[in-house]
Amino acid sequence: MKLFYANTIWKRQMRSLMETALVLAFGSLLLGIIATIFDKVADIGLSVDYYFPDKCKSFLGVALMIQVLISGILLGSEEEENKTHSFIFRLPISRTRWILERLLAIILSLMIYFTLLIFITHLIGHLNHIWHLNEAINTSLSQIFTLRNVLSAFTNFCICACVASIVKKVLPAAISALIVIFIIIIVLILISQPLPDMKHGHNYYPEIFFSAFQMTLYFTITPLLAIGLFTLSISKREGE
Amino acid sequence: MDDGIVVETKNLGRRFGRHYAVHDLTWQVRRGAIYGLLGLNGAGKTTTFRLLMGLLRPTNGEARMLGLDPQRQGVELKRRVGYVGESPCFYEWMTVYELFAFVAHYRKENWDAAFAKSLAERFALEGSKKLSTLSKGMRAKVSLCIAIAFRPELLILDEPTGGLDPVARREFFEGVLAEYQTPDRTILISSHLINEVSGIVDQIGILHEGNLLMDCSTEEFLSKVKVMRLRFAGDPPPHFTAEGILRYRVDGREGRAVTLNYCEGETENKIKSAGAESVEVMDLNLEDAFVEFISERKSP
Repeated sequence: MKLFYANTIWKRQMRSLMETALVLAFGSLLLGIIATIFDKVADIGLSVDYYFPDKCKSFLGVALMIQVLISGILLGSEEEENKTHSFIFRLPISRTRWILERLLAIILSLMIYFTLLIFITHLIGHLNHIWHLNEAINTSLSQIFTLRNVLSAFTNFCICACVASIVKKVLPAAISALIVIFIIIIVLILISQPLPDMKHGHNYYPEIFFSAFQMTLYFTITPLLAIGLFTLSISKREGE
Repeated sequence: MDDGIVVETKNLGRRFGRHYAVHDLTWQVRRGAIYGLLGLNGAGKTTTFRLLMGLLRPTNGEARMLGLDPQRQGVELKRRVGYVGESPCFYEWMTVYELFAFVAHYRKENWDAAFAKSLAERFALEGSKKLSTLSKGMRAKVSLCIAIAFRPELLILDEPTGGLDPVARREFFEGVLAEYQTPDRTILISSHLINEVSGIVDQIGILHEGNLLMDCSTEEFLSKVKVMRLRFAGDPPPHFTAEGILRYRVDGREGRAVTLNYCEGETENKIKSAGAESVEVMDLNLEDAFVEFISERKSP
């Protein structure tokens, strides 16, 4: 059986996957850098002991799950934004097959994303080693390019993307932007409760500390938002 | 549905919120017909077509096309039906020929690549051009090509010539559709350019606010809707009524009356007996007849 993304679509889809993976990788990288800056600020005693991306390092599982969902959404964005699903549904293809093939594309994107991520991490680490960068930079780079760090930073990126996408569907752009900014601020404030026993950058594991609220937020709200949006994106029918 | 009926609906309805876009539509279209579904904007034409294609779920009633249920047998139905919607959306990064290849993949049993190419040439479409660079009219042409190139048993065209220039429109109606049409193929067409389809449709249905007001042959419709010039002994009266007259107005030194149920001889006699001195019956083209028919029902 040939796949939905077969023939001419396939080449484009692969390109699209690569683009998505690159965008995600560099998006995560950027957030990783921000995380590190927050780390440094905290380390020099400016009482900024909350550093939003860094705190998410423990939530590797959630990050993975959201990564899957977001990849699907991004992959489906062409269908959604250009309304090409209305064109697809005029062709003799069943919705089940369409959904299954999109899921397959999500898995592929996930694989490519991680491959790229690991590749970039190793490449930078290798270059760092070759060029004998100074200790400070070396430390920063090693902090930035740990897989966990990048992934955890990406979790936050996912939250914002989820909220933005959902809001975008129902409200004008300006209002959406305001709401998204508002939500980001609220989330930052809520997550920024100090963690008394946590030493920055040394403990990444869930057993260290979870506040009940953070658990609720990450394990319930975020996946629900992501799943909601994903369901929306795959169940949308023309005119409905 | 082997009795020559290709489209059949029973009490088909679709509601959006409180508003019924299509209301209790009971309707049939025979095989081989070129059926024009006419109506004002918002009459329910597009919704009807989408319900038939299974792109919308009905609120009530049922529809069958080629004997198939659009909701349950959608894949089989789409294999046999070509559909051109109002605003075609494609993968913008594809070229015209790549799109053809993509569609051909799903319609491989029936896809006629040579016919598709000839259609593209006829419409002056450049196969190597990306869809994102095409104008609205060119996209409409692409949409028509992919809907016709697999020679479907039933072709549904929802405002198919929107955006086409007059030359391309004529080429489509007089060239492409004429070539496509055979006695066993059926075409359902909606267009706001009624005069353009008037030459090809042999059956018409008039939808208004979701209700089917008329379903007959074009000939029958044109024979019923007439405008008459009435002359009177003196000046035409400001108001005039007679059996069968729907509307009357003074037009210079004559009266102008519209009937929706003209019966040769009988209608003239009734008008004359109501006071007119002479009656001159004028034939209308489909667009004028439609306007006269529908204007009585238009909301103020």
